[in-house]
Amino acid sequence: MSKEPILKIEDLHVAVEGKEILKGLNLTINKGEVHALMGPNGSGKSTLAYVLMGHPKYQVTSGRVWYKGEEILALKPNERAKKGLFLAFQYPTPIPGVTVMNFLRAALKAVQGKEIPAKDFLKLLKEKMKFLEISDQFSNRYINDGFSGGEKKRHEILQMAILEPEMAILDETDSGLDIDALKTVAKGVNRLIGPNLGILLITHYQRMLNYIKPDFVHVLVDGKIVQSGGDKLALKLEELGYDWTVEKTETLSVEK
Amino acid sequence: MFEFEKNFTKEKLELLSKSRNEPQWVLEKRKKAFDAFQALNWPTKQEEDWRRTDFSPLEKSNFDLNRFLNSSKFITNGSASLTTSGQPTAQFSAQLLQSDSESIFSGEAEFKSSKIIFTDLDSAIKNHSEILSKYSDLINPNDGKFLAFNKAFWNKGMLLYVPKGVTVSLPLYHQLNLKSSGWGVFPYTIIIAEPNSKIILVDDYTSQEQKDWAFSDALTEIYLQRDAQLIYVNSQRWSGNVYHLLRQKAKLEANAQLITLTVNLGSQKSRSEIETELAGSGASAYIFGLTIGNGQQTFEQHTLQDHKAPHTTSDLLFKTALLDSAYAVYSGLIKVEKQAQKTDAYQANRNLLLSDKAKADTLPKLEILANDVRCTHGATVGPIDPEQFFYLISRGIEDKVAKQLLIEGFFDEVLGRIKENGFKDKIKEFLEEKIVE
Ligand SMILES: Nc1ncnc2c1ncn2[C@@H]1O[C@H](COP(=O)(O)OP(=O)(O)O)[C@@H](O)[C@H]1O
Ligand SMILES: [Mg+2]
Repeated sequence: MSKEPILKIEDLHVAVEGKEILKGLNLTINKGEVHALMGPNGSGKSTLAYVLMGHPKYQVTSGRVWYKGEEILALKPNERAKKGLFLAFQYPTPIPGVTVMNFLRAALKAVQGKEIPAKDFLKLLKEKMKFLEISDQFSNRYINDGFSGGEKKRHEILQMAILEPEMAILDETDSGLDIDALKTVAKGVNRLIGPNLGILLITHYQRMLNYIKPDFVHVLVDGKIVQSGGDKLALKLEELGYDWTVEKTETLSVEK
Repeated sequence: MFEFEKNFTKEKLELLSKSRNEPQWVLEKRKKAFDAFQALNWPTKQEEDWRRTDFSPLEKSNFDLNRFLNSSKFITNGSASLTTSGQPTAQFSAQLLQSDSESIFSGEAEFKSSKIIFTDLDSAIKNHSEILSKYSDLINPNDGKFLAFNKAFWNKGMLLYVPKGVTVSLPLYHQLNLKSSGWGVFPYTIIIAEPNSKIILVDDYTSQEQKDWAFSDALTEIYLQRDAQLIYVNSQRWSGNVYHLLRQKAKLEANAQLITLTVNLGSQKSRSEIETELAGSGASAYIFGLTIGNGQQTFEQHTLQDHKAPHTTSDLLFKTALLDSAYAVYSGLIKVEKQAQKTDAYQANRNLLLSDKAKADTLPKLEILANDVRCTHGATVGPIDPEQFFYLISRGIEDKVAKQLLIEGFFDEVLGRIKENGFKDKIKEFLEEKIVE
């Protein structure tokens, strides 16, 4: 596999409401690779996801980000999406009054740059929903409005399946799912994984990584990646907890 | 105050009535209204209810009556809604399309055998004066200069009369579509629903853009007799050169049910007054408003929920979305009279601002004299939710389209609360047309 970076983050510093959250983050993801990003609550995982997608609330105070060789921090969120960047939200926002169907149709039209005939769209939607075990009536519901935890996450993956991004950031897509829902969601993601897709899989637990095999695992603590390794790292974290990454020696010396 | 007033004399009024071949009793009614018109002063900005009304487009304009001096030519078109293969495509049971000089009627077979009267006011005067002379007094000309003006000089109009127990399966559609420039149109609409009847009417005002100011002063009277049910949609999609005034009054007898939806999309400046009188025990009214403003449009909306009988319900929801430098003001009064015990009255006004320069004011008022009532009111003015907006644009959707989706979503609640579906496509079409503008 050619090592062509799809996403490259260099010394990224990000602040929210004047408070620094990311404190010099470096990360390179090549085409076709799955990177897991783990870390304790509040370490800045979602902040990274939002800032990559261009949320206006998060200010980049320094650092650079390239996507497919192009600097993207000055681009608007919709421009990034049209170039193939995708974020599955940890907490998807409800939008009462706007149906999943109308939304997905508008999104696909925007990303493909042309109108899709209604018939073709319905066929595509039906096929993807079936694969993700989503019922037909789902598309007439309002976006994330009254969705269960599992429905919200499936809806995020449904969007990914329809929009076919090249770089997907999945922010805790596993949290709040029972084991069957987790398997369905993982099935949806695995189907998309291929030589052209880069994935940043943000997760709090190792559980998800049983179903989606990462090539690399990174540990984020207090706005910095403190440890990187292969998929074994996740198991070690599961066993020893995040404190170990911060103060390795001390934690390891504790004996029963 | 208004230059055009000099064109509206008693002589002109007589000429208008004569050239339309109106019977004496119609002329007498016009004259009575004219006397009220002369006795009243034009409202001024010193009056609280007119404080925000900007009359400037009207002051210098020179509307005259000649354009609509003659009554329209009435044409019956049979059923217009059969395709070449003979398949019915009817969205409506009957349609009445009025233009500058014609009114064209078409109706389905079911409608034609229903005994419903749905016609322009000139034809109604010729053929149904026994009905008209009995009704058409709900709005008193002494109550306002512009009302008196309409009642004296009305030059377009419509009558809908639904006899006892009658209903048709599809809505009715009335359109007033004006093309000439510099006009003044004074539409007078009368709706009478007899006991146990049920009907849906979409009333649609539209015009072609002209450079001169045009003036629309509309009046609608709705009589709902006991147990009658009516859905009445009044939609103004006037072109941007129009100054629009509307006064609508509905009177509900015992157990009557009204759903009224006022759609404000067009005109440069518009002011509507929607009054609902719950006169009979058990009457209920659902009063909705949908407004979209852009450019420099201004909308002024006044509502009155007037509970005069016990066990009555009124539920009002007015939603307004504003772009660019558009401005809207809503003022609504719930009035519950002493004898109107066990009344439920609700009022909500929601305003969505899609630009920094858009502005909305909202002034809810209560006047409750009964002691056993349930009454709530609420008002909000706010921008679009930034998280909702971000969610949409993070999927590639353009800012403009995201806003359109959010506006549609904002309005969905109103249409969602009306169970009858037959008329909704038409309304959605109107909204969509404006939203993508
Ligand atoms: N929108 C926001 N407004 C204010 N503070 C925020 C916001 N987003 C994140 N933060 C703060 O940034 C820190 C990191 O949060 P987050 O990125 O959500 O962490 P994680 O996803 O790793 O749990 C936390 O201290 C949180 O309170
Ligand atoms: Mg998070």
